[in-house]
Amino acid sequence: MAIKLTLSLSKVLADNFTKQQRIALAPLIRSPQIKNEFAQRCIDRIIERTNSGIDKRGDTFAGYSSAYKKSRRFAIYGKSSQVDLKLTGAMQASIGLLSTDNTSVTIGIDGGLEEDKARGHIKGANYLPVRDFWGLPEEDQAAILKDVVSIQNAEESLSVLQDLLGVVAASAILAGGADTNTSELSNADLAILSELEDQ
Amino acid sequence: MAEKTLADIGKFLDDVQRSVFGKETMQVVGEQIADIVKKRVKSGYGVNSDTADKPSQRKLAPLSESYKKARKRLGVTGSFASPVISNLTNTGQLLDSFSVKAKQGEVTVSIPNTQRKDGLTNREVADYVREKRPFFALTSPEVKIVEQIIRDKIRTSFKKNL
Repeated sequence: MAIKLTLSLSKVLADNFTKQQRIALAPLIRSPQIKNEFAQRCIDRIIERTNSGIDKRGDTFAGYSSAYKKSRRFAIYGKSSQVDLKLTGAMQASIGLLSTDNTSVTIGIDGGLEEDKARGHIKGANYLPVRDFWGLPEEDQAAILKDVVSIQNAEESLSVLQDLLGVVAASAILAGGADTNTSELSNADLAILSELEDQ
Repeated sequence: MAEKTLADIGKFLDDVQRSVFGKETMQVVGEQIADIVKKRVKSGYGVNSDTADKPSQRKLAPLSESYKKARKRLGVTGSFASPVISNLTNTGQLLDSFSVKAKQGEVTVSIPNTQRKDGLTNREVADYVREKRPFFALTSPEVKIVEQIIRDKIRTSFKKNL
């Protein structure tokens, strides 16, 4: 069974943003692009933190055993005493977006040797101590979400949407007259645009 | 609010494409691919097939007892070479011969036909050893490593060009 971590954008939004921001951003967090970007940045953050030797609680990982430090593979891969759970890099590279829901994303490692390696670190195994890298505090998720869907980004998106709206309208005119029934922007979208303009 | 025209967006994407898939970056990616294969082999691992679509990692076939004896007698000189460990390293010439050639949007990692001290070429030696110990391919997890390297470069380029 895959190792999974489900991150709820709606919870992060509810817990960390002002009411005005929540109203403005609620529609955006349903966007597949926003969810994908949020998921990828969360993965990047977990990897970055792990590479700096810190677990999901902010504690330093247990050090490598002296036997491992003396091993041939340790030398071949040019590793240092800094614990980063990275030998070939395959385990970290295998972390991906597994699925998305309406306002949540699930990241994880799905099967194979890499999943076994990750599980060994998270739970500890045989002679391996627990080095639980699998998680991301909500404040980190909030910082990422703020970055991904900042008001500035929303305004820029609005600018692009307005440009696209102009292009769509111009295309419709060139095609033989504007047709409100075939517009790619729904009334709901226009309501969102109005909300964003109010910020 | 800064307005962005379609021309701005087009230029931005061109800049990203040039910086990520330019010759220099592709050369770096190719060298990292060569390094992935080299370190895996030095660790004693090859692949189950170097012609399969998705090869998987497999321990290199062990050395024969007679060859181990010969290596002990003659000595091995390559880095991380051992008379008794199967890692395609005796003198190190084969793994050190990997060649990386890059151009816009493309990189080729190959074993060139360069001359060795024993009179053979590196490609001849590679062709010989790959029959029992295929090694020159990327496994699926290794492909993901390369994808991550490229994705990181795209993201860095996006941040730089934004």
